[in-house]
Amino acid sequence: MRGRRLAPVLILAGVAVLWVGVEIAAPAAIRNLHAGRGPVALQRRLEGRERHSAEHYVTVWLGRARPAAAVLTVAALLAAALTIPAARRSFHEAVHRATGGDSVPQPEPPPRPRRIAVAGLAVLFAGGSLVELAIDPPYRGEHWPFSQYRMYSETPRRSPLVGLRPFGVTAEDPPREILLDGRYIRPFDGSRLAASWNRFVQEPDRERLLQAGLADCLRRYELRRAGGAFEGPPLQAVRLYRLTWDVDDRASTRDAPRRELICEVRASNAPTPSR
Amino acid sequence: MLFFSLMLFFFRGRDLSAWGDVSKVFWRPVGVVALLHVPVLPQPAMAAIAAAWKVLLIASAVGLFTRFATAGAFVLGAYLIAIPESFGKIHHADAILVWAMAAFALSRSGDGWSLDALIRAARRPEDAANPPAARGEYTWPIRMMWLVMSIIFFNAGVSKLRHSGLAWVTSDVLATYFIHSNYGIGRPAGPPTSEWGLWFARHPALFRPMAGLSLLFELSLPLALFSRWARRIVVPGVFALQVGITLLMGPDFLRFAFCYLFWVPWASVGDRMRKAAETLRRHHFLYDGSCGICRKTVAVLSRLDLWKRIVFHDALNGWAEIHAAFPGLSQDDCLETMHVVTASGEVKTGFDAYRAISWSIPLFWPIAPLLYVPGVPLAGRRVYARVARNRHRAGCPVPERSAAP
Repeated sequence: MRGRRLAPVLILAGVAVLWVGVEIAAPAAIRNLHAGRGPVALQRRLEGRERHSAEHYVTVWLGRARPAAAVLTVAALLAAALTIPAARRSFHEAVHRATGGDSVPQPEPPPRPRRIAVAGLAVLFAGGSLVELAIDPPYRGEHWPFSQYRMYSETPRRSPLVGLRPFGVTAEDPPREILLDGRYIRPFDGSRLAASWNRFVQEPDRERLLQAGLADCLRRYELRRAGGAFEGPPLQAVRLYRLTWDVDDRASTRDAPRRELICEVRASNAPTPSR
Repeated sequence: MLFFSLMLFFFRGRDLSAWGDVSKVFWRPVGVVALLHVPVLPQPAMAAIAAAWKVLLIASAVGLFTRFATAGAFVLGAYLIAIPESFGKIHHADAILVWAMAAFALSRSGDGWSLDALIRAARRPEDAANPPAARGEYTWPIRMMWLVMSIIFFNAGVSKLRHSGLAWVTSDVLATYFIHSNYGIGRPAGPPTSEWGLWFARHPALFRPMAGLSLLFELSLPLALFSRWARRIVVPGVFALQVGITLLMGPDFLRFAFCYLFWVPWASVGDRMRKAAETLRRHHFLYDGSCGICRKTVAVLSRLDLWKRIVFHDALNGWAEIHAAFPGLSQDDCLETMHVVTASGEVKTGFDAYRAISWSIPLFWPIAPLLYVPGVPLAGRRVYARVARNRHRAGCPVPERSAAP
């Protein structure tokens, strides 16, 4: 009984500690780290410290932490409310009514150990997903298997449309360029590879990454061709292009993108892919 | 059974082991893969894991060693699905399969329609008359998947509001996505299955309501957890939304489509089918109640008889009732050879009796026509006669007849 009375108090105390941490303790720690005080490992986490003020980092922190804390607070308040027997009874009755009430025979619940495992799984999924929604990590930077499912959520610019795509240059006379889609370079499909190129071009050692990535595409193409996965000519090179389309409403320009060569790897001097 | 069969179908031709051979420059661990430092194993090891996973999926689908198979399928499947997510891009339709496998790994899904259940019925025929009752034990994995899908769609709706606000509905956002999707290789997710998106993109009076409805369905799916009406409206709504995305924009949601199976009220579907089958006439199956083989057969058949089209009668202990219903039958004959009085009143015995009831049990439908192939009846009758002759030697006591009226 005492435990039941204590539970809401502990939960509310936890919420208070959470907000003190978010609003006071963490900003103070960030200011200290920015000023060169505190563990060096944590100071290194403040990338670009010389360019940005401490308030910049505090603002970034609050922007991420406040929504997360808000979600946790709502969940904690609900949990605190459900520790009160009367509230719990009302909740159960509401759910009972909503799910069909007495007209539907209520099944016997599973044994306690499985109930705990099931509740754990549900809380893990729901909690992880809601935290993900609150912190809203960058698209494709989610904490898999949790996600805020951000696809198609942004307002895209209509035109131009830009994409990085690999092409194989056939060892024919005259040579042709063929798009290296998933058919040729499995297990990659177009979307996974496109995301990797976008990352490579933003890295400091982009040249090495692009060369190694294209060499892997070339090796994969030739391996699959030799294995009879498709019929096609051998390649003498692989090129990565930035394609830019001027978009119109009827997609009439879809076959006429502007092309800019970003990187090329020739079969004769391809770097050995690191695996 | 259905879920794991669909998983097998989806992954049948996919070589997940190939990720073990991809250059490490593409490797960028995400989420739990990074947290647990999950490694990419060499291709031969990945191939072995993928093969073991498919075996476990088959075992889970048919319900053989179900508890072990579903738990193993979850562990290996989570690994095999997680690895590709760390090669460039997260495919948002994959994680739901991992959650579904986790739910099955913790559930007793093998108690229903499974080989395990048939084996149990054959071993303990006396329990077969009491199939598992409706218990929370069997409904929670379904509720769990409702929760998973509700949160996924809710998050997607909130993300749209957060990043674009109501402009996602009131501006040309959806039209732009439709147009970009038709730029072939301009969109890496693959081309849409039709060019209708371009037509819709030219009609704000159509694409804006579509955007509004999509957002409304996404945000309101959690209501389906509590309301039957919401389940009837919102669930088909989000299903239509995903079909629309495939048609107009390209990405396919086949893996999500598996999970709509959890929203189908299977209990009601089963009840309706049984009620419909009740209008059909039934077969009467007469067996020797003192014979172990016969009782095991009856236990298995009664589990497979989903539409309850067969009435089982113990010719040893319930002869009075049988005699009243079918006065032309002799108890000695019925104890000697298994009899079936078909729905049309014909009396079939032995192999022919099995052939007659095979049309009443859906699982036997694929083999039922084969039982009419010339040669098969002859062989079947001989096998039946041999088994019947030797059944007392196999441990069945010689029956003591009840007094025939």
